[in-house]
Amino acid sequence: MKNLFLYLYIVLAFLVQAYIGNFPLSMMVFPMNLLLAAVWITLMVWLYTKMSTSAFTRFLLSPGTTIHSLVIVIVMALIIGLFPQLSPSEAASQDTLLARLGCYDFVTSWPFLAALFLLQTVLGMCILRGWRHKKHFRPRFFFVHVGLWLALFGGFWGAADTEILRMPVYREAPSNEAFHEDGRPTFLAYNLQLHDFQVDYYANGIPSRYAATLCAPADTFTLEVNHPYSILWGEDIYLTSYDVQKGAQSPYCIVQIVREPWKYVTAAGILLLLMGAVLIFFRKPKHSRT
Amino acid sequence: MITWNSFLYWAIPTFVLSVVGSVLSLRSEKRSYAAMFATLTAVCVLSGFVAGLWTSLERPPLRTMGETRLWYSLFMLIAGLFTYIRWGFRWILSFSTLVSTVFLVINILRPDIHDRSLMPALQSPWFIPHVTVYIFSYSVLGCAFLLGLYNLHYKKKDLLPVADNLVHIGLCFLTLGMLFGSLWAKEAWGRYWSWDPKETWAVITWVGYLLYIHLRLMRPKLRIWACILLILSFVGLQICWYGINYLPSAQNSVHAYTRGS
Repeated sequence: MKNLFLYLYIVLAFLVQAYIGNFPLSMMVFPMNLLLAAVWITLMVWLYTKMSTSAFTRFLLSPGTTIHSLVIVIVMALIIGLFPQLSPSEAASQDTLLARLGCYDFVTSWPFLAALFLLQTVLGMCILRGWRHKKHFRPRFFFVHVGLWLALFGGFWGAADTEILRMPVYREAPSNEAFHEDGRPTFLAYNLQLHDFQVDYYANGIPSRYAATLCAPADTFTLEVNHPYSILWGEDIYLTSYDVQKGAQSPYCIVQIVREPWKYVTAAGILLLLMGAVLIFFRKPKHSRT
Repeated sequence: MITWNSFLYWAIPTFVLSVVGSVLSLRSEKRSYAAMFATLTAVCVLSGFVAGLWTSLERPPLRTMGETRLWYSLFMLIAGLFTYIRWGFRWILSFSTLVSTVFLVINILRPDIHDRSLMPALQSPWFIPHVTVYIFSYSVLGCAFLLGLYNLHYKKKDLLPVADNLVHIGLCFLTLGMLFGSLWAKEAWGRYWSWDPKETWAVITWVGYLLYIHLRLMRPKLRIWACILLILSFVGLQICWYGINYLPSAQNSVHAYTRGS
């Protein structure tokens, strides 16, 4: 019965979504996200250490909560998987019930974020319990759960700090004007200029490889698909496009600049989870008689 | 020069050998070494074709649907053989042979587009581990799916402990495949995860199996639900693998390498 509260919590998130629209992600930029994350973690530690016998703590740690949180995450992910996801402006222009519930731009909707928050909280509490009961400490439990928690933490709390910019880089002159996804211009702290461009082709004329050599004030570097360049801390440059008609004579190339300062947290989580998966592979299979 | 044109001459011996293995294992009370040997030979023949195709294409055969089906046939036989050696079910080789043969036949009747080019985004050291690890997990989880179906029908026998072991192995490879994919996505597109339809369905499948493991640990009596979950998660896996091409929500997926090319 208690698990009904979990579903009530999601219904509440849907109501909030219907009344005020998608979550205001821009409010959660640094240092707001770090501050709230610190409060949330402190609350979890406090709940676990000081309030371990409270009904709420026991509820968060109960098997039913784990199982139903996973069910909720699946249902929420199904909404993303089944409804076509539109850009924020396209989604806002629709006026159906499903649109008002956020189904067409679900990744930043209240119910989806509420589900991820629930999962992280339950996961965090289980990690705290695993930590406290060192007698039953199992490395694979630790790696898998902490890894997933960190990966989610980096993606969830770092989302507002992540910026994706696009920028044409020309041969003729250096420039620093880049554009946000919605078309707003912005200026980088450094200039970029296209120095050289190469394209190789397959026999059928399809490009097999292309590479751009760019000049930045500090140094010269070559970009290729799958080979980005890390120009600043948390900031990487990717080659995305060029003038296909002109090929190697292309007068410009399009680069994508990704600012993701939290990527190191996510990467650490992914590595731990990878190690956990390997440990699970080497776990002793349970014997079964059939 | 081994190409798709000679596929029939490799598929038929693979089929015959794996059927021989299945029949031998069905007829034997104990683990049959002859069955293992026949299936192993079938695996070797099909591996020979994959290796030859790889050489003649001058790229790993992992791009088109036809190519991934080929790996699925191969890994299904390997996963069946592994399960037989490890747990000795007499019927598992028949099932793995059946599934493997279905995919061989699809490849004979509906060969996909085959060409030499590999677009730049796919030219990465992540390509081979990402796809092979995934296809291997698909085959192991395919075996778990069969156990789930079987157990739902014959409720008296409890095969779920075996399914548990298969799901652990399958989920471990599924996790590796997904994380290799996200590390690769960061390198290619700048984001670890972007909730693209294919990624979303991958996560649905992944959490489905996570749910199975937690359900088995925490609510071991809910066996029917566990069976249903094995089946539904495997359906999710099929949608993620190829069903997505037919979903209206996935028409702009960045992962559709085979569509329209």
